[in-house]
Amino acid sequence: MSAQKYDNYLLESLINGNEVGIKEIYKKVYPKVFTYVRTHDGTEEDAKDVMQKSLLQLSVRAQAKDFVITSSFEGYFFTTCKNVWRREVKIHKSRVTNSTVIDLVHEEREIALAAYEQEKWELFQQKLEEISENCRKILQFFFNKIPYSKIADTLGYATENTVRQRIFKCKSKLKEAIQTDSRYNELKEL
Amino acid sequence: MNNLEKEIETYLNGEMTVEENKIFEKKIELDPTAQKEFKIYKEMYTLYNDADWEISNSATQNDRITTYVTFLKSEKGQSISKNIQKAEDAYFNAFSTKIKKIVLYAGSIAALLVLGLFVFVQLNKDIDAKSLYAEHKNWNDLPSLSLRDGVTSLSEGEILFRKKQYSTALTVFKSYVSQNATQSNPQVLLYIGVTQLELNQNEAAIKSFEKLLGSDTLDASKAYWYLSLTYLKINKVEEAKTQLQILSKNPQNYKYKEAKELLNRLQ
Repeated sequence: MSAQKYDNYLLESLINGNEVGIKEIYKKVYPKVFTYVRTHDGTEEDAKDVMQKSLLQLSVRAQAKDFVITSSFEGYFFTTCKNVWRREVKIHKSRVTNSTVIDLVHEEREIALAAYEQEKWELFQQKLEEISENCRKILQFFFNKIPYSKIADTLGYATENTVRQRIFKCKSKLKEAIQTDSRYNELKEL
Repeated sequence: MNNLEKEIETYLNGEMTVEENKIFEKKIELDPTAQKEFKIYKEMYTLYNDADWEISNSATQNDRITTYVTFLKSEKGQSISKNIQKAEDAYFNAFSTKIKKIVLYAGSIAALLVLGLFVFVQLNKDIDAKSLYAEHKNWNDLPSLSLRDGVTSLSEGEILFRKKQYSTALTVFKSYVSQNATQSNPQVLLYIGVTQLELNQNEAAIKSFEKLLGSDTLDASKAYWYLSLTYLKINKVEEAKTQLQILSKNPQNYKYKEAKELLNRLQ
């Protein structure tokens, strides 16, 4: 089987709930998920949970006729898994610190919400890819809370103030791009 | 670019005073356009932060969410969910099935395969012991520390433990023990051992459980159970069995039923 055909087979298996094909996904991706979760404060049980939730989430999303994966199945699915684990960690933290109230919701709704959040995340990532490389770099630093001084050093800006102005402009541009994308409107809360 | 964007930036960067914060929040509340603008910037701050994730409010309404929930509840959705579970079971059991096939085959060319089979059985044991460990470890069983005498460092340790911040938790537990060296608290020892297990300090965990065993308290017998789990984790099946046999001698013992069942599976 060619790589593309194999990827299609995996996705089709997930869409149809084909046990043999899903087991194949386990073989390919679970060891990576296990390592990722274990190195990010999770247990083996957490890794299994993340794997199940991600499979179900992707299966649900892929039921839509127009659903496509542009990268490799493995890479795409692994990203979903990482995001599902980030989500779990965030929910857990919020419960512990009580900073925001997150209600316990039914499992189906939980999966549906995660799928919805994943779609929004993907849209935002795609939009980031569309702006100039220069803007993207500086914004990635900024959103990951790298101090202005450090950004100036790394990217060779003369002063922190130039960095500030550049970020402000790039951010505004990116916002514009997201806002005018029709998918952003589709993903809006009613 | 306008003033509103500048204000949003100052707010989201945390550069406003408490007073300015209040005024800004009020303004956003009253102005739907400003609200929309603020929301998208806030989303950007979360969605582009690699360490963060945007959790939607549980009451969020959107057509897609409704579609997804409906699908998940449908017959097809349910059956996919079941098959994912089946695939998981099949994946984690695959190793033992492989062995069975090889055993059958070995009948015909036994001599050639004896060595290979030996290797496989050893591997198989390894997987089995570890998965038995994973199956039986249940830290929710541990007694809560927070009720005891209002000792805050212990409850703090327990919270860290539950948050899976094991190395910090271990430091807290250990410092408690060193400060209260005269009276040993068996439950703290339990927590220390289990925390060490989670941190993969298996040898240290064995020492902690052995200390508990020698503590001459009611909880001491629990140590047999946790020791057996530890030995399973590091694939010392015989040692694990020894501990389980002790437990299975008396129905009064901690985890008596589980110990018998585990023993059976290890035979």
